[in-house]
Amino acid sequence: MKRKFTGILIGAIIATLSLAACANNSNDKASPSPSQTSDAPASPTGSTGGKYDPPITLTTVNQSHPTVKYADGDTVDNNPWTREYEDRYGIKIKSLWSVDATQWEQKTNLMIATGDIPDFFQATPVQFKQLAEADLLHDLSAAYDSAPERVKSLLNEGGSAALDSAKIGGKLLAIPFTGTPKEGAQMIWIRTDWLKKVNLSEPKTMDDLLKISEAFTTQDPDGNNKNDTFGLAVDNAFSTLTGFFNGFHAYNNIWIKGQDGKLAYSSIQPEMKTALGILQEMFKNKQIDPEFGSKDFSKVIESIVSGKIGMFFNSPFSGLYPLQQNIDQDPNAEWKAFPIVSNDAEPAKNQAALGTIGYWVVKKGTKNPEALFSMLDMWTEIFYENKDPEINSKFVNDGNTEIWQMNKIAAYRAFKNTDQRIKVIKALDSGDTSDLTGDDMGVYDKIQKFEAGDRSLWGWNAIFGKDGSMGVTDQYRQLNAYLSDEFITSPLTLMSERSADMNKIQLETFTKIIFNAAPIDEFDKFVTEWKKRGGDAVTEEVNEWYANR
Amino acid sequence: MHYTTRPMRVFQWFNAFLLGLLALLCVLPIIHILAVSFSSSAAATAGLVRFWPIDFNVKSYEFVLSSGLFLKSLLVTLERVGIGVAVNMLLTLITAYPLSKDSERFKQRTIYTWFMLVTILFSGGIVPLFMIVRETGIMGSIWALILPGAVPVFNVILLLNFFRNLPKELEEAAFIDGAGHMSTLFRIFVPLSLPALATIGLLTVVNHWNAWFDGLIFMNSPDRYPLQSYLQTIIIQRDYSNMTEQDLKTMQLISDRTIKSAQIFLGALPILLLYPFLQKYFVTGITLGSVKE
Repeated sequence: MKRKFTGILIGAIIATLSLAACANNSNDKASPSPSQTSDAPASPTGSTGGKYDPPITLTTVNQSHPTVKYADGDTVDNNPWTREYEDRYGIKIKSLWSVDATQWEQKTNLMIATGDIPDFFQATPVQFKQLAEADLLHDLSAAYDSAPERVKSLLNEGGSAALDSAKIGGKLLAIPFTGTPKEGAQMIWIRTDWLKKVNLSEPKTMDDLLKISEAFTTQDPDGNNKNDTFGLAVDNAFSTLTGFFNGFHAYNNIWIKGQDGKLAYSSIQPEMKTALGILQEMFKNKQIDPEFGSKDFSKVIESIVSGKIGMFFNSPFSGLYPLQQNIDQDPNAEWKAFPIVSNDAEPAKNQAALGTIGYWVVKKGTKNPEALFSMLDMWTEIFYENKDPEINSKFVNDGNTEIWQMNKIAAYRAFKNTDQRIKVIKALDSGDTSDLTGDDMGVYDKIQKFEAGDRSLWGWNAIFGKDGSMGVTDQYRQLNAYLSDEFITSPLTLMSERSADMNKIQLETFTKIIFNAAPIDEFDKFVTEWKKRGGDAVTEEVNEWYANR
Repeated sequence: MHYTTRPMRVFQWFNAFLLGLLALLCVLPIIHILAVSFSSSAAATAGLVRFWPIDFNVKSYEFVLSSGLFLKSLLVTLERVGIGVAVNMLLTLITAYPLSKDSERFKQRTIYTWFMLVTILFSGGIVPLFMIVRETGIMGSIWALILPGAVPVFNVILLLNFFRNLPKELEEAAFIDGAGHMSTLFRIFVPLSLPALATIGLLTVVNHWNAWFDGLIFMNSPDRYPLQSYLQTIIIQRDYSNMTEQDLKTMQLISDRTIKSAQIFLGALPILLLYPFLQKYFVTGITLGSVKE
């Protein structure tokens, strides 16, 4: 019996191996064939103003969004945006598949693993690097040089870091999908109705802030005669503490330039110890939810919405989510955003990550890479510059669905919302709306409705209104109160190998310290441990990258 | 009887209490979901709802039943369960029947059985599977959800063992009366093994109903997602640390927990209703093949 089994097993292994070999063969044959690249070699018109004749076809893959509903008869490949690409530039789009945004990475990974990539698509930073190393990407340097000015200024609005991060070996191998890391920098959101109740003024220094936290904990700001409120929101990944850390000139999880000009990991600096010490004090004084260690951001949102917490650090967009939900729940609630405060005379700076959402990569050998810049030019014109309400309702938002998400390539302006608030406020003051784009008009209308008493639009006013959070962002911008992450490439080899372990001890130590389960000096032990477990080697690796950038 | 002795009574009470507690643990999450789905959106976001709805309303059900994607994905799942269960059952039957014969009558029986068993122990992994589905050209069609798992080996073995326990004389008698293999299978074996078939049927239905991952990777458009793939996309945790303004606007629109709960509950309902009717076969079916006389 035993011998029989061995024989069968060997047979099975041989069969499997030969099957695998077949699969390999067929794949080798398949990949060099120009399966779905651009159609006929179109006349090489420039990327500005020209129209391909005959039209070219670009293949891509598509992210779908739950808020997008196609009009009757429209599809992923036939909608206002794709028709306009074709009318203007003679570019047809063919989507090989689409998937929900949450599954994007998994599905594109599979696609890359099987070697069948479309003409262009949005890659993650890691995928971008892998594709570049496998030499599958088209050099876009020449196409970028002849790109429309509008597109260039869009890509550079938040600084040159985004474009730099898309360059490997001096070649531009992707168009960065620029995000809004600086505009999204954290601020302090405070429940101002509570602030009035406890008789405190707006925070100017860290001391003020700590006093507010204490008062929100002990003086029963919600007036239910129970000691059930907390001073400061803390989640188990510390994402709501970034602005707090920054107030101590401590920065979490980024690489900063040290005195010696070399890069150093921010979370192991002595400033972090100070900040953690204060948090420990706050925890001892019951200003922090004792269950914070098991509460992720969505759980913290529950506490905020149910009126248990009156202060939290978060992005300026929090007015829409989650604060609007608190406003819906509690008719007396009122929140306002304040700039982060410093614990000494030196003003606080916000840490700013690179913030690229992804990289638009083009498959090597694609005939018309400049077509992407044309499409991006159209995006900029329609989404950011158009003032015609008709075009707005055709391409951006018709009141029902977010049509703009049907675009096939986009990049975000670094300070669009900040500028938008300035324009909207000006129009609210003067009543002259001639300078507003369609998107601006939407905000303008919502604020007017809010001022007429519609509290369901409170969030818009909290962001774009006169006292809105975008005003704080504007201050940040004018003071350039940012400290940028100097590490602007995809994770390096050693880093990706060790980071899980290193992040784990960091999270554990920080949690323990705040939780008062370990003395503050545990931080020094953590720094040694961090270095030992690969921190030193990773720092070296990072500096090597930095020197050879 | 021994039930009347005191220690035994105490044990019975204790047992019932413990098992009841366990059962309650299983039911409570469902009751919570149900309560949330009938509550007002604000109360649900604030986390105030426990096991009884707050501000009772049926708005989320109205919304779910009038919006397209949920119903579309439900149709895809029904299609999948319909075709998938038929294909699975047929293939299970015609595979288990010959394999249940003695090695003397069917010499390569052991080889075939091991060949199939290997697929339970080892799998090629997801990338080869993806490549096979792509190269066979069924990507994006309903067959991509059905063919890769068309022969459920575990079920085949279950049924095979059941067949082996049927009296051989019945089969011999059928042959003497002139029946071929096909009519023996469908006119003797199938009617005799209804409990086993009901068990396997239930397993298959539940498998097809609950599968979500293959839908996500094999379907080319969210329009064609089966129900569970669709539900997965709405309940997955998003990364809050790196959200753009656009993401937040989306969040605001879809963060409604009452609607999510309504969809989860509606998604589980058909199976919940099916279970009680098939469960009586379940126990007998699964143990029947286990003891040999």
